[in-house]
Amino acid sequence: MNIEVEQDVMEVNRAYAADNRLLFRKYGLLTVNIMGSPGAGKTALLEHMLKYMQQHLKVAVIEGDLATAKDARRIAALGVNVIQINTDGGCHLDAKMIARVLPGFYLEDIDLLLIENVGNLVCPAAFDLGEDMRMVVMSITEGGDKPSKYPSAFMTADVVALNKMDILEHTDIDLEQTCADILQINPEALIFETCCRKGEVRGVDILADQLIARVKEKRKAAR
Amino acid sequence: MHEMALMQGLMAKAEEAIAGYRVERVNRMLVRAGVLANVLPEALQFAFEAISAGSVFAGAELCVEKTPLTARCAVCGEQYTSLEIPLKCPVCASAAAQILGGDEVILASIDFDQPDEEVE
Repeated sequence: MNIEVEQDVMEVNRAYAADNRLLFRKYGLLTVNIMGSPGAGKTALLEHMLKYMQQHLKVAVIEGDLATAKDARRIAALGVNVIQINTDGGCHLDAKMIARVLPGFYLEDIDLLLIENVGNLVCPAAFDLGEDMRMVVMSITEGGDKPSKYPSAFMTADVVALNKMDILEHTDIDLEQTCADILQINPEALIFETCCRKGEVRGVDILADQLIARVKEKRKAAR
Repeated sequence: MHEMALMQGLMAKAEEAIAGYRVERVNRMLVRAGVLANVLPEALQFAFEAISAGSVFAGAELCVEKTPLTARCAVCGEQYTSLEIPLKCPVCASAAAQILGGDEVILASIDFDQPDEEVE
């Protein structure tokens, strides 16, 4: 006997993502899902973007990690509201985890919600959180072939930050080729070059300005 | 990497689906996964064997079919499906597109044997 079932296990995530998206629209806040490999520099980039954006916007952060609240402490040290999600070994954030922590914020007071996903370039890309934008942070030390090896993350990214540009001369990356590879997968991706080392922070303001512009756009559309 | 969690979800749906039937042994389970679900068939198979042990699903064949994503071309508006990334619009060849679907992981069907004996 053969029975047709035709049920999608991702349906639950999709439903939560749709609810999140409605909530974000209601409060007119922009959400960004930030993805990248462990060590790409997501948290450092976040810290420097926050320092720059704090004077322009009210920003809140959700930190996703397998374990510990180390990243959340770094963000909280800047005076930014942050909620840590520990996935307890899980390789990605899903929309239900986000829905569960949203009541912890005063959403009406937030302009921009930055969600730092679990360090992983594969699984997070498959889970819609209800975000408006996706950002992939890729450090140039990871090797220039990553966009073509992990296409789904790059294909769905609105913004790609090529991080750790300060050590470009110590790598063998062909930057032009890497950018061409990203644009081949995703011709509409905006690529930014950044570095976040102490005493040498570059490109972060340009990237942050892009997000600020998108916040304003969304607010205008919400009115 | 999240195949174990996906498999748990699939098995929950599978058990629900066969709950109303007398089942001796499950022969085959068909799963269709979109190319954007990032599912590795081998990992799903491993998870299936681990979770199904000792149940009527033990020893069943798990078939995983990759299904294409759906996209709308950002340049000419054509809607199309693709198994390949980078995308290429069949009309204008652009790779720029809005993704409409392709992350689904569907339990499509279950094939099973029922016991021979008559129900009294």
